[in-house]
Amino acid sequence: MTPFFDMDARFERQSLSLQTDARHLAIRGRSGIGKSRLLRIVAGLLDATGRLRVGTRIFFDEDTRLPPNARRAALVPQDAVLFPHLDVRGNLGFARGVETSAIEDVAAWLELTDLLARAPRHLSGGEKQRVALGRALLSQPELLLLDEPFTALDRPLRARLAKELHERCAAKGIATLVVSHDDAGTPHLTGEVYTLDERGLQRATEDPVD
Amino acid sequence: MLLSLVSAIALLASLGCRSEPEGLGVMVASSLSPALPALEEAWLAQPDAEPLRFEVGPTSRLVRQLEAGAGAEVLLSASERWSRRAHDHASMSEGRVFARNRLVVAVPASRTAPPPRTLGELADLRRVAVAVAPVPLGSYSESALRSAGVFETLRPKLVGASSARTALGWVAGGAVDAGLLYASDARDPNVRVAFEVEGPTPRYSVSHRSERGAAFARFLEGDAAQAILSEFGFERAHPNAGEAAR
Amino acid sequence: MSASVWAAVWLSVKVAAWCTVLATPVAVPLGYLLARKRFVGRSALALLLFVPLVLPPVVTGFMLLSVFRPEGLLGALGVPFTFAACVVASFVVSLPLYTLAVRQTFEAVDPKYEEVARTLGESPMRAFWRVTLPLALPGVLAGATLSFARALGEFGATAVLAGNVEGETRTIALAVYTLMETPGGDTDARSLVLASLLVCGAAVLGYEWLRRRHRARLELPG
Repeated sequence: MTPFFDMDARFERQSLSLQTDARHLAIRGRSGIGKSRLLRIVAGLLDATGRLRVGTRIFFDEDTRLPPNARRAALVPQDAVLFPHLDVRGNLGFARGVETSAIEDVAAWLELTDLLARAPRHLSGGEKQRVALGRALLSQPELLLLDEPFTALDRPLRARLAKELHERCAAKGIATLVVSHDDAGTPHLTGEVYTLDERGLQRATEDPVD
Repeated sequence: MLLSLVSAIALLASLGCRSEPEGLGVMVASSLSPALPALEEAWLAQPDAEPLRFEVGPTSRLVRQLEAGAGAEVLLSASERWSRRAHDHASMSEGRVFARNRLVVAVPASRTAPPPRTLGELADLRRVAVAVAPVPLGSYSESALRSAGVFETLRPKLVGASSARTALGWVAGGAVDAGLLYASDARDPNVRVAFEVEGPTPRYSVSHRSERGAAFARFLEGDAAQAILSEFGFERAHPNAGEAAR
Repeated sequence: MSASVWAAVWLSVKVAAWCTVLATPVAVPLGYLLARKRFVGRSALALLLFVPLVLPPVVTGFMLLSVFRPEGLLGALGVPFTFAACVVASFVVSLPLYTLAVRQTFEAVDPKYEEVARTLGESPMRAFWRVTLPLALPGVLAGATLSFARALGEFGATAVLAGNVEGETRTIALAVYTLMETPGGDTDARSLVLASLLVCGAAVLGYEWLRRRHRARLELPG
């Protein structure tokens, strides 16, 4: 039985290796250590040497490289990166085959229902993060890549969304990989915790709080 | 530090008061340009000859530059009309004719069909290149076609070239079936003269506005320059070599 | 205004419009490639693009003529001295400006939008159509306006490739050149200059209107 996440990659001098059957991973590290870069490598936006397999899909190895759009690994960037020419509804429904009812369901869950016609420019940081999260979730991914996803949310909302996101992902069989800053406190998502430093990835000894 | 400041100021000063360029400024109608290197060589072979600074272009443009204050001392014009205008508006001397050209109908050298023999036969062709009226070659061509009474019939076939050089390029490249060119330009190996056109004789006249310029004008009328000009297909300003342009 | 003046204005507008319409599907992908992709021959392509920009248009005209003359590579098309010749000459001369404007625009669009679209399942082509192009639209419009204006005033290359055939290839620029030395032509020449300024002004205003609308839609400043 091969592990669900099977990564043995190198980028510059950092070794990025992990093998685990856990479907929900949290990676912590100080800023500038390459957490966002790790997500970009997994998403296929940045090339690393070595290999990466998630589930049954080979993302890359010595001689193949799956393009980002074939990985079904949706990225939720830290700064949201909403499409400025589309309103909230357009952003949520950006991926192909998204049904209106699904948009409305996710919008209600993320407390965005009243903002559907609003342009990204008129959203707060927290609202933007929620739209980016909903947009990624609605693209029917197999893996959700979250870059400090809740930093701009207030504490009660953060706790609720983290818990419910986990439930939704578990229900749909979506794996999650979330990166966060050391003192962001908690990874908010249940799962295995790793730390990223100069040498590479290590399994964290302590258990996730929250 | 001080040194660099001084040199910077010197540089700025030199930019500010630009000195007059060296040599005798001579504006030359473009159709004369093939003969220029040889003329310059002969001029410089004279004792104490000043270096020359040529500016080549269509006569019409050169004269407008003179009117606007261009500093040339000598004008070699392809049109008496334009040299008169330079005399009237740019304090140049009256033009003196120093060479003549001829108007020919030329066809591409690659053309296999029999060439036209008269202006009237041009009507059997598809396209004929003629310089447009502002260019001296154009006004010579137009009056030749008009006096032969064929201008209006030919009109739909005429393609207007904005310079004598463009007309030559069209004929040489085979883009047109024939063209009205200067005989001197038709010496190009890629074109063949079909026949010579009856009509006005293109005349080149020289005018100047200083003693230095007058020296160059005299040189052009002298034997050495005249020999060079005829070598390049221009003719002596017969019958009276010294006749003033009118 | 005389009929020949109107003919020249109308001809110029048609030439410039055709030229812009035909140049768009070339300038947009080319500008994008130059902005985003690293490929063999990229510098050579960029350099080649600059050629019509630095050469005297008359020289460009002669180069085109050597390709389109009856014995030339594309001689069979019968281009010289026709309406098509005006369009070809303007196309070649204005394409560099258009492409360079588009390239700059694409360089200014952050690739992160495209990247996110890719992770949401969009192919590079679809990400381009759905994200990058809409974001670059004002710049593309600016390039189109520039190309239109350049085509409107094209003289050098047109004078060589298209000649000066009244009613067929006598565009504003060629007509002004001819009229300048025709006795009594000053009035018509002035009308033509005025007309070309008006057409160009209208193009720029149209661009400005589209740009504002676009920016308002994105709710960006300005």
